[in-house]
Parts: sequence; C-alpha cells; structure tokens
Amino acid sequence: MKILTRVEEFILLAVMHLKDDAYSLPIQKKISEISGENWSLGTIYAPLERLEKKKYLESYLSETTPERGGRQKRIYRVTRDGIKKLKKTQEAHNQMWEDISEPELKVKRT
Amino acid sequence: MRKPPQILELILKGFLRYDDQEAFLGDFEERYTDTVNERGIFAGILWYLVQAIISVPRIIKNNYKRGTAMLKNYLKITSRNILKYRSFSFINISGLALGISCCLLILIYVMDELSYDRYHEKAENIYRIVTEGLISGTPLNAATTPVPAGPAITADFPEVLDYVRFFQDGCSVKYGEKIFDESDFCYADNSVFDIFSFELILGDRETALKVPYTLVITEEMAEKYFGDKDPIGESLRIDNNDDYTVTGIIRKPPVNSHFSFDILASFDTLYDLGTAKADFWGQISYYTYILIEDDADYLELNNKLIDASKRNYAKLMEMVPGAEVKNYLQPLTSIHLHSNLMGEAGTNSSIGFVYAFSTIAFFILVIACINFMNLTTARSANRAKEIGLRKVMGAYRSQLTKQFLGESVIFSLLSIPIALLIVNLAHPLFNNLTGKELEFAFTEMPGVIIALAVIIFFVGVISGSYPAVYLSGFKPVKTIKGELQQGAKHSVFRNILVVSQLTISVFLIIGSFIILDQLNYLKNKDLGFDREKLLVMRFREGTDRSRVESLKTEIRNLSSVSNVSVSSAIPASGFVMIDGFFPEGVSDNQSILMQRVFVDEDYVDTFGVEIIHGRGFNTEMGSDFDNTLLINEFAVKDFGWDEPVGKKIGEFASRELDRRNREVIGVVKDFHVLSLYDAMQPMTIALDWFDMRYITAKISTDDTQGLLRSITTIWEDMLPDQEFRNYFLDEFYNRSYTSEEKLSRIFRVFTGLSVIIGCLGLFGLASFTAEQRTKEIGIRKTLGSSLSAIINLLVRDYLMLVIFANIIAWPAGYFLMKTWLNSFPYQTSINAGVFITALLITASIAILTVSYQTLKVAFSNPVNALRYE
Repeated sequence: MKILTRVEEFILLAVMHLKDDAYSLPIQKKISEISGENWSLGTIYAPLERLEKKKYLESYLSETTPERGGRQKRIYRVTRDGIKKLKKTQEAHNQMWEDISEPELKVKRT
Repeated sequence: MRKPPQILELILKGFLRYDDQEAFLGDFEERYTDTVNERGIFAGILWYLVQAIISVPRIIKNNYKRGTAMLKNYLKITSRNILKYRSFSFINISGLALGISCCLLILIYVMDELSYDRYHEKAENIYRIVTEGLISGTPLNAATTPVPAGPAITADFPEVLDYVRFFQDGCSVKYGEKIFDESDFCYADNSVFDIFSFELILGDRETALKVPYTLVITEEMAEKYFGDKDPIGESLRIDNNDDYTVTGIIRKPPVNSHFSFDILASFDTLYDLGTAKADFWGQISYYTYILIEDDADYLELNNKLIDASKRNYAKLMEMVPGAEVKNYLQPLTSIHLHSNLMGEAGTNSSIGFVYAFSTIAFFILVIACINFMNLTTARSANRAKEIGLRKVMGAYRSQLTKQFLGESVIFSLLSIPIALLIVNLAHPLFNNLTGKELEFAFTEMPGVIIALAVIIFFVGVISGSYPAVYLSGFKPVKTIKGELQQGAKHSVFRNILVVSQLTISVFLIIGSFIILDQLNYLKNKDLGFDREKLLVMRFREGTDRSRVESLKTEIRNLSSVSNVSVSSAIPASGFVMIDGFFPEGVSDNQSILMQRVFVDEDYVDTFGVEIIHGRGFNTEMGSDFDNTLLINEFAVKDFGWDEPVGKKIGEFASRELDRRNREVIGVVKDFHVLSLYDAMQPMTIALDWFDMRYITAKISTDDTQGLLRSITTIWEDMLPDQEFRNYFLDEFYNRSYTSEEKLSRIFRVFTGLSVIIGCLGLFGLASFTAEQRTKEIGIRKTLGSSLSAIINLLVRDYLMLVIFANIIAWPAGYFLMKTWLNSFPYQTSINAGVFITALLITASIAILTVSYQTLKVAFSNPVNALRYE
C-alpha cells in the first residue's frame, strides 16, 4: 500500500483545485505559486502521464481556443481511485505529524 | 497573435508521439504567447528554444525506451569481448586497418594519376594534334606536328577556336655573370594564355608573347636570375646570341601536368631565327594544341582532319615516295595515361600502371575483409551459449540479430580511424616509394572516405550475419548444452575464403618476382658495349670543332682518363638520329631507315664496342674520314649480305651532306644505342664531324670526385660559355628503368603487406581452431598419440589450402605476367623456379604462423585440456 509522492500529491490537488481548467499550464502555475519554486513544464508532464497510467487521473481533449493557435488542450480530472489515494496520503501525513508539539518545532539557538 | 518559430515547432513535433502532439504543442504555444506578451518577442523565442532543447532527451528516452533498454548491455558485452580476446581483437582490427590504409594510399596515387591536366578550365575542349604515318616502311608516331598544322586546321574548321604551338628547346641562358642551361625552355604562341589556365602573375596576357624575342619566366627562374630585382623589362641572353626581354612572370605548371616549362618565349621568334618556316610541312617537331567548341564532336573532327591531311601533306608525300602522313587528335586529359608517342614532352605514365595498382588495392582490401569475416565468424561460434541464454531470458531473435550485426559493425568501423592514422604516418614512405609529392587531405576527398565506410560497414554486416542469422536460429536448449559449440564443422565457406586469400597472395608473390626478374634482366643484359666508368659530357651542338678537339686533347692528357671520344650519339642514351639510306643491292629507289651515329676515331675503343668483321676506323690514315662506314650485325642480317666489307651505302640527300656513297669497312657487334624498350635496328657509324654533341671519357680511377674537379677546371677554361653537364653512363642507364623500378618496388611492398595481412588472418584462425580442438587433442594424447602426429593433424589442413591456392594462382600469374612481359622487346624468361618459390614461401609462412598455436596446444598437459569444462 503505497502513498503518493509529494509531486504526485501536489499535481492531483492542483487538478482538483482547477476543476474544468485543469491542464498542464495552469497546473504548473498553481504548483509554482504555492510551493514558491519554479516548476518547469517538463517536471509536470512525466508525473501527469504516470498518474494517468495508474488510473488516478483521466483526461480528455477540450475544444480549441484561439490563444493556443487553434490547438486543443488535454484537460485532466481526478478519478475516484485518485481521490481515495489522496485521502490515504493525507491520513499518513497526519499520523506522521501527530504528537509533534509546537515547542518541539522551534529552532533552538545555540 | 504570434506563432512560435516554425523550425522549433518542427523539432518538437519530430520527437513527439502522434497522440500527444496536439496537447503538447498547444501548451508550448500558449506559454510562448504569454511570454511574448509579458517580456517581448525575443524572450519568447529564447524560452521556446530552451524548452525545445531540454525536452528532447526526455522525449527520446520515453519514446524509444523499449529499444534502448538493452543497448547499454550490448555495448558492455562488445567492449568486454574486445578486451577479453585482446590478441584476437588486435589481429582482427589491425589487419583490417592495414588493408584499408594500403587501399587508401593506392587510391590517392591513382586519383593523382587521373587528375593530370584536368586543372585547366577548358580541359575538356583541348586536344593535341599528333602525327601518324609511314615513311619508307617505317612507322612514324609523333606527339608533334609541323609548324603550319595548327593555323591550317584552325582556319579550315570553324569548330576549332584557337591553337597554340610549343617548341621545346634546351638552351643556355645568360644574365650578367650567371649562365645556366635551361632544359625546360619552350617557345609558345601567345594564345597559350587563352587556351590553358596557366596563371600569369605579372604581365599582360593579351600581348606578353606577341612580339619576337620576348619571354615570360616562372617565379623560380625570376628568383634565380634576378633575385629581388623587378624582372619585367630585363633582358636575358639566349645561347649567347640574342637578347630576349622579360615581359611577364608565370606560375610554374602544377606537378600533375604532362608537360612543364620554366621559360616561355614568343613563338614568332622562331620565324625570325629561321628555325621555323610558316608553310613548311616537313619538319615534325612542334607540339600543337587546339581548343574546340563545346558542342563540337571530336571524333567527327578527327575524321575530317584525316581527310585534310591528304591535302596538307601532298607536297611532302611527293618528295618522299610512298610516304603517308596524317594528323589526328588526342584529348588533353588522356595524354598522361594513354599516350606514348615519339617525342613526348615528358615521361608519361601508363593506364596499365593505374590498372595494376588499382588491382593490387582491390586485392589487398579483399584479403583484409576476408580475414575479418573469417576471424569474426570463427570467434562468434563460441558465443552460441550466450545466444542460448539470452533466448531463455526472453530475447527476441530480432534483438539478437541487431546485437550481433551491431557488434561486428562497430568492430569493423573501429578500423577506419586506425587506418587513417596509419595513412598519415606512412605517407612520407609512400611518397618515397612512388616518387610523387602527394598530399593526404582527407577532408578534400569525403567521397572516398564515405565509400570506404560503406564497404567496411558491409564487411561488418557480412561478418556479423553468421551469428546474427545462423546461430540465432537454434534452439536455446541445444546451444546451452554445448551441442552447437563447434563452428569448425561449418567451415567450407571459411575454407573458400582462406583459399581465395592465399591465391591472391601467391599471385602477388609471383608477380613481384617476375617484375624483379625482368628489371634485373634489363639492367644486367649485355648491351654490346662496356658501360662501366664512362663519364659523358654534353656540349652544345654547333660548337667550334677546333674548340671541342682541344678540349678532348686536354681531357685525354689527364692521367686518370684512358680514352676520350666525341660523337653525335652515345650508346644507351635513348637518343639517336634516324635517316634514310640506300644500301647497295638492297634498294635503289626507296630509302631504308637506319640509325645514324657520327663518331671520331676513338669511339670504338672508348665504348668497348667489338668489331667482329673487317676493321675499325684507322686513326693514322685520315682517309677514313667522310667516306667510310661501320654497320652493325643486325644490318648485315637485315640486308642479307654475305660479305659486307666493301659494300657501298648511299646516303639520303635531304641533309646538308650530298647523297653519295660510303664504303662499309667493318661490322660491329650489335649494341643498344637506345634502351631495351626499343628493338634493335640497323645502324651506320660514320667517321665524320656532324651533329656532334657528346664527349665521353673512359676513366681509370676510383677518385671520380677528384677527376670531376680537374675536368671542370678544364671545361671552364675551354668552354666558358657553356654549363658543364655530365653524368656517368651506367647510372644514367639504370635510371632509364625508373618506371619498372617503381612498379617493382610498389609491387614488392604491397605483396609483403598482403602476405602480412594474410598471416594475421591465418594466425587468428589457427589459434581459434587449436583452441576448439583442445579437448580432442587432450584425448588423443591420453590415448598415446605422438607429438608429431598431433602437429601433423593440425597443420595438414592448412597445407592443403596453401597447395590448392597455389594451383589456382599459377596459371593466372603466368598468363598475366606473360602479357606484361610481351610489352618489352627484350624479356626475361619465366622459369618454374618462380612458382616453386611462391609455393615454398606461402607454405613456410603458413606453417610458421599456425605452428605457434599448434605447438602450444600440442605441448600442453592433457589433464588441463580435459579439465577445462
């Protein structure tokens, strides 16, 4: 029983956030914004593909838009499996954080 | 709305899977548009470019992952195989590399030979007019024409655009105190600049050679005579008679030209000097080249020329009854390799050489390739187990095929850089061998390298196809059980390859022996005179008789000189005058052509010519002068005379001497006045002073340097206006066979190399077979087989192959070399020894190469042999 990696988790969450506009560019933007790091498109494509293969994501091609030179978008949606997996990952997270109190997280001065 | 650059989009598109293209490109384009809007077009393009570049490796990896998963393994196995069998790899690759480098070297040589005269812009439209005919039954085949041929042909045929005539004439050139003999002195029409592409560095190409007594000289000559001074307008004194003005500087013709010159003088000078007459068709000594129109048909023109010749030579033919002379054309670019006429402007090569060398190159490449294939297939039989295992682990047959083909192609291609390195290192040696100054610029011959790479690629494919196609087809169980380990049983193909390789070696050995034989025969054949210790000096024709006579006396007085003779021709010089004669009772109306030599009384003694009948010239009486003749044995036989002494021979009257009879007083043993390229001809030797040009001293000392010094002093004293030119006759004679010598050297070197390459192959094969039979030999030894029986067993097979190859090569070698020999009037006989030697050489080399491995196996302890599983 594996949990998701951080990248996978972020991508799935971003897709859920973006709803009908969930395709590669906004996903990348969203993650970059939240994490404060500049994620390149390339780092998005591979996990997107992997997640789709694992059936946590599904995708379809949208209608064309003029700002893309008349090209279609690949829009992603999180599947039920994907949502379950996200939940599981969150639980694992929470358990890991449990019992760690605020004071312990303070950086000690030496 | 901007579109991203098409080219970048195409790059991305090329690497993307079809079903992804739309979405991916859309993403990129959208981002591109955003970037352009935010930060401008330049940043947009830059971003797209960077994206395109960094995406490519990932995309490739994703798309071809299947095919490349095993690639690393294949490469690893290949390199392990090379390293594991180091000596085998070394033999294999170096053998192929050696073969390729030989082939490349010869190819460069051949390409140089084929490049002659092609640097002229109009080379394809330039033709040389030459003269063919029959005068008094003697064929005439001259590279030259009479003076009016060029102008007449240009005037008669509209398709002929222009002509240029050359007249080669060695002469002495004097500037101030400097005096040199220039042998590459040429007279030429001004049109030389229009027809040929010689570069005029200084001077006006329209007028440089228009006026009589003007000349253009090469840079080297300008340096030699004038040093740093501006040569234009300076004058040079030619033959101590006339002053010529320098009007231009010309670049010396490249080495790959069939003729060369250092100085070009205006052709019209010859009219002024009276040497040439504009309408005289009887003096055939001028080179004529014509330029024809692009669309003119040269063969048609040739036919027209033959018709026109009847008209042009009508007068001449009237004068000499029975004579028939006509002109025809030779393409400029064919002269160097196809023309071998009388009076060629330089020593031409022959297409035969080109064929011979190309054949050798081809043979060597074949040998090297055969080796490679043999060794690779032999070695790959050992890998049946690997193939079996790979199949068990799920390899497709197609993957195995790719693996083995790829491996042997990599292996074979490794030889190319090594070959290029060898060529680079060996090229000074090769230049030495061929006597050429060849450059090895591979960048200038990409075609050759590509062709070679293709050949080697196919060699790799063929060598790899045995394991790739044959072995990969077996059931894995069988191969793992070791049932298929022995490739040796399928060796018919391999034996055929070895035999053909040996056959080529044997053929080359036979060839080089026969060439060497012939060369030695030519050099050592008794020429009918004693050519040792003869110092030949050349003075200018027309020098005062009294001055030459006193020079002769001075030289004769030196203690280390035993004899001196002045003559118009000397033996083995390759030059002699030919004239028509009327021997008594043989022909009264039609002249017979005979070689004619004018000599003084000392000729016979100086050259050691033997008088076999009658007497020589009598020094004391003085009565022999002007009215007596010696003839050679050949003439006696030719004329069918029983008693030659006392017969009269009439002389042809067109010369300055009137036609009159001279009496034969003696017969000399045949001696060769030309070289052994020319058959013996009837000859007359007359005591007379005419056309004298050689003074020859028979010397009786070993201190040639000292002697030369004293003669130089005498010469400078007596003939100060002439350069002292001299040579030793035996050295000069040996030099006349340089082309055979070159052929022989090249043949020997490449025969040696082909044998070495062949040896490498045999060695590798023998070690392989011996290894394969380790177990068999172990068992034989355990059961009591003797050492000699085992060696015999292993060597016998190879000996059979050697003998078989010899049997094939002998007749081929005999007939081909016989054909070559037939081009010489004097040829050595081919004896059986050559063939036996070839057999012995190949057999002993084969035994030596295989015995090392064989002995190693034969001496080894059978326990080790049997335990190796």
